[in-house]
Amino acid sequence: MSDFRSYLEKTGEIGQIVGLSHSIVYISGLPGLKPGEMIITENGEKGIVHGLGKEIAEVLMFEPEKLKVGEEVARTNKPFQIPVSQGFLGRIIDPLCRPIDGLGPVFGEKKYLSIQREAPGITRRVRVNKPLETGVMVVDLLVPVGYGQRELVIGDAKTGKTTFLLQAMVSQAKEGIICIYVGIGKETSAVKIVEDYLKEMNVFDKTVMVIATSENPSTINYLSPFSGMTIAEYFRDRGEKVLIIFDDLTSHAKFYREISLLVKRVPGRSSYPGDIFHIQAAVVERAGNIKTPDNKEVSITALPVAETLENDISGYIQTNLMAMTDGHIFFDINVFREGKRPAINAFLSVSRVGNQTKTPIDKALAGWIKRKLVEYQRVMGLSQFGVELSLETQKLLDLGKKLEILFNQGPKTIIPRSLQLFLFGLIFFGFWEDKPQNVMKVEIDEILKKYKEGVFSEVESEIKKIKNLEELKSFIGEIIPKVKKILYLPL
Amino acid sequence: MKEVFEELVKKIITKEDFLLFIEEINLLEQVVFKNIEVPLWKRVKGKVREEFRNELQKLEKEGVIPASPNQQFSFFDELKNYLQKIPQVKLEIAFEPSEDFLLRIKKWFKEENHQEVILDITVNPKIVGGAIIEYQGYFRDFSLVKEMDKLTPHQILVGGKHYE
Repeated sequence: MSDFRSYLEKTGEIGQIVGLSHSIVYISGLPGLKPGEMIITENGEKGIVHGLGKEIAEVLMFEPEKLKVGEEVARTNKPFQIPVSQGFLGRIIDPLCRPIDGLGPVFGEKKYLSIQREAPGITRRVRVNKPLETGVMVVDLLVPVGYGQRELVIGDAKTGKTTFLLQAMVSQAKEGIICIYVGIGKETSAVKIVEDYLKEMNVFDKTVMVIATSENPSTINYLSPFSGMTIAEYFRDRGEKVLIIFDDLTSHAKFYREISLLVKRVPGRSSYPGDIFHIQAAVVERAGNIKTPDNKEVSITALPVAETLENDISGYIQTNLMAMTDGHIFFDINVFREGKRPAINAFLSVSRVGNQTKTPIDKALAGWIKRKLVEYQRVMGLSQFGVELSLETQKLLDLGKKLEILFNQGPKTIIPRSLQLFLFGLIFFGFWEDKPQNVMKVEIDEILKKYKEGVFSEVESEIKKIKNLEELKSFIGEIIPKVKKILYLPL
Repeated sequence: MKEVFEELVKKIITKEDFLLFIEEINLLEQVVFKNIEVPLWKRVKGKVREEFRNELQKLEKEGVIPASPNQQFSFFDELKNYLQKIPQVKLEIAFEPSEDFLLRIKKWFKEENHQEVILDITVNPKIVGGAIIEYQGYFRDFSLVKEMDKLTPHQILVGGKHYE
């Protein structure tokens, strides 16, 4: 009430709620109102001005059940702001920054930031130049992502997109990167799974979860990516690197469509409003690698998610999102049905700026793997005709299958770069050439187990110094006896 | 027609008058198609204010109100629309205003803005004096309590002068 009164006196303008429709209220009065401005009602509820008519303004409210027609409204002459704090780490909040994890209020200093800030200009931006390890081999080797990149994660529902994103979060949080998970239109059970995963992996205190569930009004869901990005910018401006995940922007588009149809905007393609591209691009554009005034590089890496139906990546929102990002990681339902995890189709995935962040050895290794996988796919078709295959082709088939086995990765397995190089070094060297595939699987599990125990700590530090494939091959050759000793030593 | 409406509006000063007037027009609309051989002012006897009935009688005699029930209905409908478009001024004052005071305020608005207004008066002694005004989305607090809030306790106690 006191807020309302002080704003009223400051701006000298008053309005009245003349209509209510779900989360949208119609206001008369307030002659100087601007689009995007925050308004306040006499009971302290805040809203964002969405549209202005001749007599009436459309305002998005977040708790419509508390409002009634005739209630007085004041301007604030400020854009919509949220209170952001360092104390958000390890907390679950809603897009209005209210804690929803039952752990009480967020303590500490709070900074009020506008949710609609301009994206950094070209002069502040810096080339994406450092690789971001997701801990998922197929991505890190074949579709690499860099700090400050905006990489779309696209695929059908239940193909493992969120699992991959969580793996990326864990891998980054362990390196001290601030991770923000923005859940849009999620079910409470799905949110719980994310929370439990992050807690189990001991990275929850490095993450902020901004959650709007399907039970929340569409306006709250619409606000989520803006709030998430504002929180990311708060941490970035404090000199931290941030990874932000929008799960997912197709749901966000649907919520925005709902709002637009309620305010009777002209529907366009698939009934989405004409400004849907602008709304989402304005959020995604705020990510990037930028230079601070003291010449330090900080970044916000954005991984927006888009959901498809039966692998159809040509949908309106999906193509929009592809156009505003620097590539996409495609989760293929057919790959998923073949039992491969993660179900990423590396051939249909693109990373426009990720490759420039890779070292020569990573590039060479990725080139070798891609070449072998292409050859494998070609001879796979041939082998189905039942023709007698040459020894060379049989070897190629075996290598292809083994590469697929290596790329198969459990949801809780995070593989750092050094281990990735080590494993692919082994396959490149021909360590598993004459061994059956099931033996290889067992040995990989054993290596991962020993790695966690720190048995390969020396290898880890040495492998990081390797510059090219030849060096890798000779290094692996040197340590093979040691690997054999570790793997085959009787208990 | 507009002149007739303007003349009628002059008699509406407060929001209460306005609401009563609208209610009476609604009542007229209900009887427009009943006993059409009897003049309207007679049909509403005992249902509306005497003052309103006299005005109605005058308008009927002058032929301002059309004779056919259909035309009468649209006349009252137009009148209602006209009245609803008149801006309202919300006025919060500290005392119960006299009729004369209200008329003066209404006249002042007409002279300054060249527009009729309806006064929505709220009496709130807590504002001590002055007024809080809301008009067409603008809000101005000219209350005495606001001015007093700015004073120091010393200034209040010694009548506005600050002695060292």
